[in-house]
Amino acid sequence: MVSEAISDAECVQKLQRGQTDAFETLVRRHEKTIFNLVYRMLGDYDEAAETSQEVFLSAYRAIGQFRGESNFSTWLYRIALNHATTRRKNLSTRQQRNVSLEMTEPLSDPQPGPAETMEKKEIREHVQKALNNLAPDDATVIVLRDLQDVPYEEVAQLLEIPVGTVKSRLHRARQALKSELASYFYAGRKAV
Amino acid sequence: MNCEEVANHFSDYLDKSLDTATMTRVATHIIACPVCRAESNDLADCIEQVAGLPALDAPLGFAQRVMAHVREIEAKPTIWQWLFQSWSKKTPLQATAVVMVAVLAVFLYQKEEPLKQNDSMLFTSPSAAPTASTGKERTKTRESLTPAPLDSPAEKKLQATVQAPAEVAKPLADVASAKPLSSLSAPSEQSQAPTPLRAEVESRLEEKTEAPRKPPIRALEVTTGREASGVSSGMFGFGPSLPLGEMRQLAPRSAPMALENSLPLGDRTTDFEFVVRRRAPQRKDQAESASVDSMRQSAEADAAPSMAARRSAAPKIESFAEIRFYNVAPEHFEIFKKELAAETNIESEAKAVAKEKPAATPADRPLLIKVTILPPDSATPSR
Repeated sequence: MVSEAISDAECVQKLQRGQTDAFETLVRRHEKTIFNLVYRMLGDYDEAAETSQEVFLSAYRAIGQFRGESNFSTWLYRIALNHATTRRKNLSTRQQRNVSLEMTEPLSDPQPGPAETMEKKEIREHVQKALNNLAPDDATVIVLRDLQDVPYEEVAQLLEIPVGTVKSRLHRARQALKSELASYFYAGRKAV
Repeated sequence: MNCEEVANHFSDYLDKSLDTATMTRVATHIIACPVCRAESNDLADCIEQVAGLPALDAPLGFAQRVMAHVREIEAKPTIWQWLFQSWSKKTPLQATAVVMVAVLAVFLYQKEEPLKQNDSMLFTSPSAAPTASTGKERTKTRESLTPAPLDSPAEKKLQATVQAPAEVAKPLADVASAKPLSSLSAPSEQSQAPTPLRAEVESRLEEKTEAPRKPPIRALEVTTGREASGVSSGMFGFGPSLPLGEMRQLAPRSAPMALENSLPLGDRTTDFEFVVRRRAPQRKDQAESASVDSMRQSAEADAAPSMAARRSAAPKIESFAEIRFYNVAPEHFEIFKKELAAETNIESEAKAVAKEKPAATPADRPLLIKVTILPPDSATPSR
């Protein structure tokens, strides 16, 4: 296996020279990011796992076309976004995603008490449901900027749009997300 | 800055991506305006909730599964990769394919060329048969259209019938070799006429040594399959009776008819139609002179046994009627007619009505003559 210390660019060069093991380094390095991006775009754990696998296999097949003009992570993000968008369109109904979401949402923070855990879980489910209800472009820009904390410039590069357009699209997407979550937050505040 | 302007900057304000002056103005407005402050807080909560979504770990063994698929892909390249990406490795295979394609192309070209030649000759010949004939028949047809080939059945037949004295055999030899009759040699030379086999061999040698010669008069004989038996021995092959003396009387003939191989019958329009009758065999014996008999006997002695067998079968075949077609140049029509009259009894002659285009006058193309040969009539008086 290739050393974890080498950069993405070096791994790509080794992979392009035929060293398949270099790809394992890239997979291990980016699997979590790509899986989370896809998972937040789809809202389904199993779908996200399958789609993430397809993303890496597509990247492996197309590695010969990667010229190094952008970061490997950016290139991989673009592939992931394309796959996730396509899969999202293919999912038949949003209800399906919602059901599977409730069944597959993992508990990442087991320390809090049961009541707090349930409340956090409920909030996450509603946020994810709101993301699922957004338009794909709006969901993409929110996931990239607010969840993945991708810089504006890189978001613009990924989506191949100007930075100003990214900002305006993000503003519109946040307003849409707020509208989706308004009832929950309003009820929650009343309850609190 | 009013509320609407501030609302347009909420997102950038929360991201702290505004310039300092704008940030100050927006912040001042939000502090002073409870509506905008509540709106800003709600939006900040949304962003916080999204950002607070936990980062999930990839499924266990995700990288191993991906690498397992990668190794499968690596072990089994796609068809495209197999064909083109490793050209150097596939060179022997592709070179073999190129060679095979080239060989196939040459083979097809060679196979196609004779057919094309056949087609072109058939189209150019007015007596061309319909294209329903097989390849073998086409080949035969092509041979028949070449100028007087030596080994054509008509010529063999002609050679076989040269069993006459020299003065008679010479014109026939000339017919076979397609030489003009004007080049006939003196009687002294004619007395040295070869036997039929010798004549055939010599004629064959002449044909091979000399350039392809076209007879002055080209008569393309088209006949039925029965004619291929080659039993008849006349100029036109009308029967064993060879009016040799009468042939000699056709002195003005400028050239013999170059009989060519038979062609299959097709739908054609004849220019002239003759109905002729063979002469009775016994008439030939009466007409021939004693010298002819002696020459024939000597010729028969030299000839192959098959010839005798054919001669013995002749009367049987002569009892049938035949229809033959000839292509004759218009200027040689009279000669043709004279020779026909010399060998047979012409019972009727008719000129067919032209059904072709006005431009295709008989002067432009060879005449197609249909000759219906009736069996010999014992009641017919001999000449």
